[in-house]
Amino acid sequence: MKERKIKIKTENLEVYYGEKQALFDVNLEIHEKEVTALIGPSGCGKSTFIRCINRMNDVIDICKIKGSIEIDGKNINHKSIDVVRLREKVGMVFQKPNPFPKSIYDNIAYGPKIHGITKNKGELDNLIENSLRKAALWNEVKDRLHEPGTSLSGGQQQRLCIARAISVNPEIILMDEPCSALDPIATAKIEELIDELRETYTIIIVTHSMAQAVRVSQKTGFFHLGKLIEFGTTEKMFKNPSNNMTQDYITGRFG
Amino acid sequence: MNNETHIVKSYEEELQHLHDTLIQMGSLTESQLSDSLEAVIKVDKESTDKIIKSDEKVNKFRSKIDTQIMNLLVKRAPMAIDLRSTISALKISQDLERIGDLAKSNAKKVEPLPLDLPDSLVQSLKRLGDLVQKQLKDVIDSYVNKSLDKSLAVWKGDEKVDDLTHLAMNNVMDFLSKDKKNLAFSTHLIFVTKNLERAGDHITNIAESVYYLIKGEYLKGHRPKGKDTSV
Repeated sequence: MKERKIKIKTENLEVYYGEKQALFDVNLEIHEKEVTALIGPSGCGKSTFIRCINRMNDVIDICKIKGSIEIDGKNINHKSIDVVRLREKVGMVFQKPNPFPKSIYDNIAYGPKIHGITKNKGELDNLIENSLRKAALWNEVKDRLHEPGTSLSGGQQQRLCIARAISVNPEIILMDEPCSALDPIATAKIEELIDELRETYTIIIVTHSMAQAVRVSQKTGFFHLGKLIEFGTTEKMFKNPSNNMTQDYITGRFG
Repeated sequence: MNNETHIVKSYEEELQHLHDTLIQMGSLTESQLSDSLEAVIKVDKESTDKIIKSDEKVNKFRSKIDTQIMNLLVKRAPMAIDLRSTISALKISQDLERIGDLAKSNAKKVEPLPLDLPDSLVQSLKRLGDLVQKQLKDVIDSYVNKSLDKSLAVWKGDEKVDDLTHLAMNNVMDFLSKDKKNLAFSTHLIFVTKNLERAGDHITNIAESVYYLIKGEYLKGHRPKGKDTSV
């Protein structure tokens, strides 16, 4: 596999929630336009890790971060970084689809309006259509753009959230168990979408489904008790992991 | 290798059951091979029926293992060592079945043989047959004990099988060239020799599967090759 440019790099990353340490010395390089899957038992730190990348942890007062996180070589925790711009660059999709209580149209228009991405209604209309097309939702919603986002099915809502994340031209998309609330058909559509989005974006997906990690990702990281135990190509991780703990986890032997 | 057991007990049992079935199949194949060799060497026409019928049992093991593997794949979607165990078992059972077929084929060649086979022919066939049997025993041991060294030794040992095949083949040819009356049964002995050599190749396949199972990587490099035995 061709090694791509490093997009995200963490060095000695440690995260504390008050007294409790959630991440220990995480050193990781995530390459551009690849899908990286993060796996591990609940509470292992994988969600904490991705929440560091768009500084979602900022909203938690007791959260303290040590070490460095770089995107394109720049420390994202540096004083000079505008967190609103950072989050424009790093989109996020959550476990439970969370459309705004607004129309389908407004769900997507919200971000571009805040970030001043479009100049007029025509441009905004185009951007909304493009975002919905990229999220493979356009054909299903083009005649009902002004209906509430919450009127869509779960899978459609999740694609709406992906369209919303895409609308502000991010470079990185973080997905925190995006399919855990979806049926297999909706899951397949999201996975197909992830495969297409990979051409444009760097994607990190947290998942509890080993099969999903194998299907969608090129690299996989296994976290346990706040430590990154193993990181490597997905193929190697699932056929022949180097670490016994990884093997125990992915084969269902974990005690 | 891993000593932890699965959280899901029935998964653990299914993998263990597959492992046990494969060992049983291996042991039956070993008997088939050794019985058929003995029948050839002793020109024992009485025993061949039993060997030919027993091949059915080997085939049944193969379908039993196929079913077990299908169930494992569908129910458990095995990963890592479990995936390698499952896939290796599939491949090994195919090779064992083929070895069983070759043993049956050799048993069928006994009927037309004369009772007074020349000793030199018997000896060269026996040497080859004994080696192939040892290779089969060793490769099954390497699977049971998950021994990388043993699987490698078997893999390398195929060179010797080729050499002994070459020798046995030359002996049959010599004998054939002496008297045209020998043509019919010599042809059968050529097949017997070739079958033993092909059994050796399947044993080499098994050694490769065992190596992959243990190491998670394919054996690199060219297969060891002795003297050309193509007829």
